[in-house]
Formats: sequence, C-alpha cells, structure tokens
Amino acid sequence: MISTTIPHHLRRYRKALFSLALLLPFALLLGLGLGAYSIPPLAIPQILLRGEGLEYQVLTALRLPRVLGAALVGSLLALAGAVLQGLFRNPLVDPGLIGVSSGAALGAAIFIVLLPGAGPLETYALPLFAFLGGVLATQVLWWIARTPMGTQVLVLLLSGIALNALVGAAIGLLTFLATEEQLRSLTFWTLGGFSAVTWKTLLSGLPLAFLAWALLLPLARPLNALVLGEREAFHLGANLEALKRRAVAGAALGVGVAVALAGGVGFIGLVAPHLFRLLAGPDHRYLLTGSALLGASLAVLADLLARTVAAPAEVPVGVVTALLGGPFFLYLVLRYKREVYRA
Amino acid sequence: MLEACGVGYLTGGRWIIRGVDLALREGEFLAVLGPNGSGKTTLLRILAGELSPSEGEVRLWGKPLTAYSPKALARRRAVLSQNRQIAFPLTAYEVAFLGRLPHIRGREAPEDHRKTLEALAQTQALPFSDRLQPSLSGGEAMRVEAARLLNQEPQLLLLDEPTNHLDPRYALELLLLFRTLTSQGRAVVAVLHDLNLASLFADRVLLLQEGAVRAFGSPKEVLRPEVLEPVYGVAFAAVAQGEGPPLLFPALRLAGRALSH
Repeated sequence: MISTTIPHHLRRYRKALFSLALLLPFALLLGLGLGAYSIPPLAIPQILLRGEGLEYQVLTALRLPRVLGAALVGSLLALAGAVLQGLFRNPLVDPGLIGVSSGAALGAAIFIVLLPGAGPLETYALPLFAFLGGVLATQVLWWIARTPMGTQVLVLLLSGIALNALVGAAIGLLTFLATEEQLRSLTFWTLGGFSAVTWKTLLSGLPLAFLAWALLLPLARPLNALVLGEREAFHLGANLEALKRRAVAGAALGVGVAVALAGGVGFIGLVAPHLFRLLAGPDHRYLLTGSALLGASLAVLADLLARTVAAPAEVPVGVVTALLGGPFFLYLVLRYKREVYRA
Repeated sequence: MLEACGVGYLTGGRWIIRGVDLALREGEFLAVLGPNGSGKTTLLRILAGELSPSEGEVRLWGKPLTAYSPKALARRRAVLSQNRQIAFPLTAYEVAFLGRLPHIRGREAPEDHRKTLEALAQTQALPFSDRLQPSLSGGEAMRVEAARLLNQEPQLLLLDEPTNHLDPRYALELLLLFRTLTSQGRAVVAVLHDLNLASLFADRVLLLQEGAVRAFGSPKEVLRPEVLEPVYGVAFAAVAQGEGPPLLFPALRLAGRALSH
C-alpha cells in the first residue's frame, strides 16, 4: 500500500555527490597539468606510471605536493565549515569563528617577528607555531564557554568574535615591531598560498588531517537532529556535550592543519557547504562528504587560477578565494534576504 | 511506568516547581494544567530528562532517568516541544526520518524508511512529505512532528501544548491520534491550556499553581469551578452538555477584588 521508491530528494543528493566525486580527479589533473611548464592533463597518469623524465620530475617535485596540499586544505576547511555551521545552527558561520584561524595567525606572527633567523627550522617551525596557536585559541574559547549547564554555543561564538578582535590588535602590534622583510613574509602568510607546501610538511600534516576527518565525518546524524534544535536533538538521543566537544576538536584540528600548511585561505569553509546545499540540500549525511569533495576541488582550482592568471607572477590564493568568495557570499545573503521576505 | 517523587527545580534563587509527586501507568493520558508560569513546561522538561531536578527523583520503569543514556532514553520516550525553529530547510520526510535516529545502529536499513512512510501515512502527512518543512502550514508541520514522534516508537510521549496554533479540527484530530496510542499501552503526558480538551481526553489531570500540585485526580474531580477558581483567579461556569462532561467557561465577571478595580 505504501510505495517504497526512493524519494526524489534522495536521488538529488546522490547525483550531487556523484558529480562532485567526478569533479575532484578532473580538478586534480587540471591543477597538475597547467602552469609555467604545461603537461597535457590526460597524459599525467601515464607519466607517473613511467616514473622518469623531466615531466615526471616536475610533477613529483613541484606539482603533486602543491596540488595535493591544496586538495587537503580545501577539504579540511570545507568539512570544518559544514560541521560548525551545523553545530551553531547558522549558515553564516565560518571556521574562523572558533578562533583557530586568528590563533594560528598570531602563532605565525610571533614566530616570524619575535623568533627571526630560525633558518632551516622554518619549514617545520612556522607551521607548528601556527597549528599550536590555532588549537590553543580554540581551547581557550572552549574553556570560556563551559558552564555547569553544558557548553553554551552562543558564548563560544561571541567570545570567538572578541578573541578575533584581540588577536587582531596583537598582530597589529607585532606588525608595528616588524622589519620590512618580516612584514613581507607575514603579509604573504596571512594571504595564504600553497607554494610553500612540500612533501615533508604535507606528510606530517596528513595523520592529523585523517584524525580530523575521522572525528568529523561520523557526526552527520546528530547534526541532522540538531537542525531541529538543541533540545530536540537531546530528545532524539544525541549526546550533546560529546557532539560539541568532538565537533570543535575536529574542526580545530582540521583548520589548524589547513592554516599551518597554507596560511589564511578564506571563504572555502563558508562557501563550499553553501554550494552543496544549493545543489542538493542540507542533509548532513551527504553534506559533510559533499562539502569536503567540493572544498578540495575549489582549492585546487583557486590555486590553479592564482598561479596562471598573472603568470609568471603568482597571486596569493587567499586573494583569489576572497575575490570570488566575497561576491558569492553577498549573493547568498541577498538570496536569503529574499527568502526571509517571502516567508 | 513513570513516577516523580518530591521533584523540585531551583533556578536563579527561585523554586520553579517544588514537591511534585506523580505516577503514570501504561495506557494512561495525563493532562498537566495550570496558569501561565505555574511550572508546567519545567515539569515536562524534567520528566523528559532534559533538566535534572534540584531535589527529588524521576524514575522510568523503576530506574532513575539519569541511569539511561540519551539514546536509551530516546528509544523509550519522545517529546513534542514548542520550538519550531528549524536551522536548515529539511524536507518533511527528513524531519520525520529523524525519529528513527535512536534506533539506528551503523547503517540505516530499508526498514527505517518503511517505518517513516508508515508514520507519515498515519498522521496523514504523506501528501506533503517531499515539501520543505518551513514551507508547511502550522497544521501540516504539526502532523510531520507527530509522525516524527510515532517514528521514534516510544512507550512514553511528552507533549508541550500540542494544540497550540491549531484550529479546532486539527487539535481534535491530533489529540485523538495520541489517545489511540494509549490504547496500545503507551502513556501520554500533555501540557494543555484548554480545560475542555483536557476533560475530553485525559484519564487524569494534574493541576499546578506556583510550582506546587493543587489537585491530582480524574477530570471529574479536578475540573470543577470550585477547584479551578482559586488557581486561575477567575470564576468558571460549568454548562451541562448531554452525556459528556460539563463544558467549562471562564465567567465574564472577573473574580476577586484585586482584579476588579
């Protein structure tokens, strides 16, 4: 009597997920192929299998770590964004709001300005400082938002804004103290980019990235319950404290790794989940994976644009994402405004 | 199945409720009544395990609520709260499907989708199950919420003003649906404002005033003008109607000097 055909919205989710899974290898091949030394994208698998020649050298020494790093960073930022938007029940939340990005920026600024001349240590030490700064900042916010009644998500959000202002002031002070050269590297770090990603930094970030994925991806069902409200999620059997702890820890870890590898790449964490919701819908069982796939492709394509649009010069990738992300975000706001009026 | 012993809740230096005792058996429909601010919603939230009482204890099948994990509790009781704020536009089907959450271990089975469709059919929400929840009317949204509750397959249902915002027909249909559930041995606790709906559907009535129990008994015993008047501070008129219970109306003349100046 009741038909058990797949509801058509389910088909939409699966179609979106399938197309995004196809988009990623396409973006990766494009990112690997195009650049100062062009390699036909379709020949890349063959060249990698052959394992020799100039093209092979270019791919393994330069392009692969950079492109894979971009994909890793993009997927972490987008996944963290999707999870945090679900946790805060707010579509305008950016992963930066839990303090990771600003904490990481402060960590990087302290390293660049106050510990000059690290020399060969810099490849590891700068990402490490950024990572620790980010995770520490989130820990402080988490500690502030704890109450005997449970962690207050709104307090977390508000103190995140306060912390961002405070960190901005501290970075301003460090900028004031910095030399010309330090200022330059600080600026480049803040704008973000994947040119500094090497096999070494990529591989040392990978275990932490896996941990972040493992923490965040299984949160889909409780996040769906949270769409109805915190109380409703509890009524449906979600363990709210465990969910909040895991979401914030996973997001801090993921964004920490992303910022350590690539500096301040903005907007991907905000825009990728939105794009997926527009394509398919807000169901977190599909949204989390979909955002991660989409974020990876977006970062690879943004990086491709950054290094080809003004070649041989390189535009910081943060500029590209902001330039494309800003207007898109504005479009979203206008669209939501219309929806509010229509309701 | 559900008992509360000397339950009190203290917040901001004020007791919202205090010394509340109640017991609920399988198949029983309990209506919680009382003026605004008498602690009805707080009592319901304590019974739901959402707030832990400052004193006293709530037991479900002899075990304190705190002994259940959130998931184990969700397999036994479902709650309809007054909140209608959905953060992202899920479809009605997705909202109803969330009721399966406490039962799913690992992957979701076709069984979960079959039960969701059945629950939607039972509350007559199937025709709009593909629409977005925020686009539904109050009555339609309530049917989807009711389907979500049924989908949870609870033995205990806690309802906070379920007939709020519903027209008389929807209100009757919804309470009738929950009333039929009690004949399957499930228990219902409903916070209601409408005295006549309470006398029509409830087996027992708990009357709260300023956080304390003023009366607890059958509708016949509790829903009488002389019991209600001191609690609500307004006179009531009882109008006989055939074989059913008498209808209660607040009298147009306000009771007491304090209100009449």
